[in-house]
Amino acid sequence: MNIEEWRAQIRRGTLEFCVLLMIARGECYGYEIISRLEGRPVLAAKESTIYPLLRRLLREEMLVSAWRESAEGLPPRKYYTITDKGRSYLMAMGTEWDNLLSAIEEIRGEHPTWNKH
Amino acid sequence: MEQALEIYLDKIDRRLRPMSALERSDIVREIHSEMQELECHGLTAQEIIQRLGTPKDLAAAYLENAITKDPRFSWSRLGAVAAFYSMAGLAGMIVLPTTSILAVVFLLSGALIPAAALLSLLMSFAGMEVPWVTMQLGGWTAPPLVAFPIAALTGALLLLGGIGCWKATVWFIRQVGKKRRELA
Repeated sequence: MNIEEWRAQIRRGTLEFCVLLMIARGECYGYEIISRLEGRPVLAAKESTIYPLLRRLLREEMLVSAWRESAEGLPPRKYYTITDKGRSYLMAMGTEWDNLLSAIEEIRGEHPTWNKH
Repeated sequence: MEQALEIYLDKIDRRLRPMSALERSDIVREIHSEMQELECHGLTAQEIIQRLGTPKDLAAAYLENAITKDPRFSWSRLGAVAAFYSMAGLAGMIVLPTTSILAVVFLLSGALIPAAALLSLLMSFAGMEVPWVTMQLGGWTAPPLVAFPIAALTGALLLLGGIGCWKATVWFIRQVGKKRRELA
């Protein structure tokens, strides 16, 4: 098993969480989300991942969207906003995430030599 | 906007045909917006296309997401399956048509057979006969009163078979999608 593959698996499982977190902090448009993720190599995802994901979240009513004109010279953008349903889903994900982290830390604690140096 | 990008958007639009016109134009508009955004950042048309991947793969990502994230059956989704299978390679050419056609046939028959038997049963109560609905088992023709429960059972089994085939279809597409992501 190579580490790249594992990273891809982690990314696949957590991208939805990250995207919802970003949008929960304030409305975003697609390219903005992609470029913010680009700054974090472990999470960087392509257009072909993010846009279909956003569309699914819209369909599941976690998000709503609206087209808006931009400043001179920039294209109109489609802004995404989180819904109440999305917010409660995000809360539930946050709880699961904390559970996962503490479970991992607990297991790591049982093997002190594997801990961070 | 450069012609290469216009052609790209046109290809996406054509590949997304199984989706509703409204959804399709919204997707194309969003990709268009991103292209302009990238142009503002100084990327050339060639670099933009390289970044987005081939129109075929990008459209497939939308279609795959639309099919596998919602396991219910609908005609538009069957269309999406057909479009996806044209991209899924040789195994898809054998497996997907078989399971998806069986799903449709089983579901339709499963609904039609009990409906016909019910019609025949109701008409027989009214003292009439429906000549084009008969149930023949070997040499014996079942009277409507007996035919209906048999038809209801047959229908239920066919519906179960149909649901099973549809699930198999969705499962297979998921596998193909996973494989493609692993290769990418």
